[in-house]
Amino acid sequence: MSAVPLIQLDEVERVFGAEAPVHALRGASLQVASGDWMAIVGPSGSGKSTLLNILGLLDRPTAGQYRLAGTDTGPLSDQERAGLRSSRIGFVFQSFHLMAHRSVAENVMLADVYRHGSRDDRYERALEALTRVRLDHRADYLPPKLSGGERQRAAIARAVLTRPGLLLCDEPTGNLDTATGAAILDLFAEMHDDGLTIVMITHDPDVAIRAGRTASIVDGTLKDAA
Amino acid sequence: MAFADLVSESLAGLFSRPGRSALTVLGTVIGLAALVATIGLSQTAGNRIVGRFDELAATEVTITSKPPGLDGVSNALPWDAPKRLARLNGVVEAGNISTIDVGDSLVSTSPVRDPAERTDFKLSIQAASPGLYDAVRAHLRSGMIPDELLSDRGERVAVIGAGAADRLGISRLDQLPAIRIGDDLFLVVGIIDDVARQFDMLSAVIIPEGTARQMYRLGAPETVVVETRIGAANLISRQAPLALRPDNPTGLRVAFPAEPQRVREAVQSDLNLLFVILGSVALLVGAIGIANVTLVSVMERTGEIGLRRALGATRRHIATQFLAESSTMGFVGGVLGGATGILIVVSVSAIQSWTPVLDPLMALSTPLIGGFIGLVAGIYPSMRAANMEPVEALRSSV
Repeated sequence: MSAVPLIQLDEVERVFGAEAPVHALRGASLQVASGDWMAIVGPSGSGKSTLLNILGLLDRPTAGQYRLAGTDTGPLSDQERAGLRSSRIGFVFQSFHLMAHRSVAENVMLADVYRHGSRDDRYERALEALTRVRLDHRADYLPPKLSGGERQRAAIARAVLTRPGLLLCDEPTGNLDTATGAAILDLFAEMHDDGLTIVMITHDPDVAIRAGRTASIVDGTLKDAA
Repeated sequence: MAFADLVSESLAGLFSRPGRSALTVLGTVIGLAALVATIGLSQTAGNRIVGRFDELAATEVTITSKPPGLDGVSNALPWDAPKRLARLNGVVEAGNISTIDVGDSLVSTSPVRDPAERTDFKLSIQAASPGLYDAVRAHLRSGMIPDELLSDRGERVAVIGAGAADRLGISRLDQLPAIRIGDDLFLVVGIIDDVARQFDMLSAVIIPEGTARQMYRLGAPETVVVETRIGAANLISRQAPLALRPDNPTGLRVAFPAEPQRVREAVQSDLNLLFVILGSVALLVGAIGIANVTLVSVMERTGEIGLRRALGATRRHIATQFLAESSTMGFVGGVLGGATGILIVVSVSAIQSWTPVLDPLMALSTPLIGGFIGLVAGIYPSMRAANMEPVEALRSSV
């Protein structure tokens, strides 16, 4: 483990509502080193999506501190947080979030738009990312023409286009059958072997077991198992 | 976000729902086409109206007599008023016209053409000197204008206006139609179908002045209508009373033309107000259409907005994209609307044989107007989009 963890949560709280407050996270502390593959397991409503949103800088903690690569994210402006999302974090969603009327390649290239990436070689880099997930032959297809597994591969290609250090996955196999889900997890394993840090939330223990580390979350309380 | 990316993402957003975008643009097209066409046709027609009005107004002088004063001195116009005025330099033509009081007498054709229909009418009877027809620029549909000889001999002939001819059922003169005014029979010798002045002549029966003097004891001409050369009207209006009644020039009332420039400005001012009202309505309709569709688009694309935020878009990026989309719709609507409006103005002008008049700045600025409408219409939907929380937005599907 390097000296500065990629993710460091210290006593993070997230409370929704003022009159009838709901504690989605209660004093969550966590360290994820660069190159880790971590699964966070918990039932529905346990707070795992809230945790992932905070890790992805899509939401702010009510209390506590979140450091990303040593940077305290609390004082950062919305614009600075957006900048970090575009350059350092990739997202993979359960429902893929692909735009139906744009080709697979165009969906992948979208990740580069807000990073001010060069337009000259954007298509080549998208093809490269698609090759990495073995979907380059579907570059010009529209997402509705793809299978579920192919759609998730396209979403993963989009997430890794900008070569982020951190990949956040929200139930990445939730909409896939077992075999296809296993193939996606194989893909994550390959990327993890290449040095990508992966944090994946799931309610499925069989999926979580593929990760090197597992943490569980119940009623907003995070327990690091390893 | 690079400008090229903004353009490509906005266009992609518009083309993702091409039918809806086209219909939205159509609203702006119709609005701006209506605006350009209205302004163009108003300017074209206005130019004709103002031009015609200027020319007519600048060449017309009418002279009437004031009622007799307390001293009993007559203010009557002389019978030879047209001849006296003709001596003045600048007078093109002059003629007398008077309304004849025939009491309750009705006018009918003789013989009666169709007993089943109404055969007698209350029509205005006027007496005119021969020169009047040229002074009012009367256009003869058929027949002839009674000359001085017929007038002096008191011949019972009449010219009828097109409106009176229609009511009396007279369309041809080759069968020598006659009319009765009360019990007096007159031969219809001419039908006039247009005049530039004294429009009530078109619905009247006009008999020679000499005939009116003999039959109806017309005491003096009522009005003298003078056609002058352009620019001479004011001079004639000052000289005419002296020429007609050197003994009592103040007893005559002279109507002289208004200042053409002021008349033009007044007409243009009225037209401009019309443009502003019509334009505002058209623009408002277009803006509401764009605002409505953009707002619906924002609601439908909530998941996409969440995705873009997750990929690093700031609130400003989201707002800018939706503003660019609404502005583009407005701009395209402006281009097509401006072109359509010009086409309408040119087509209508070609059909009517008018010279199309349209301020080039107006036609060329429609894309900018459209773009501005789109921009303004997109402000509220864009704010809504930008203020969406990414976590909430991501719960919707793309």
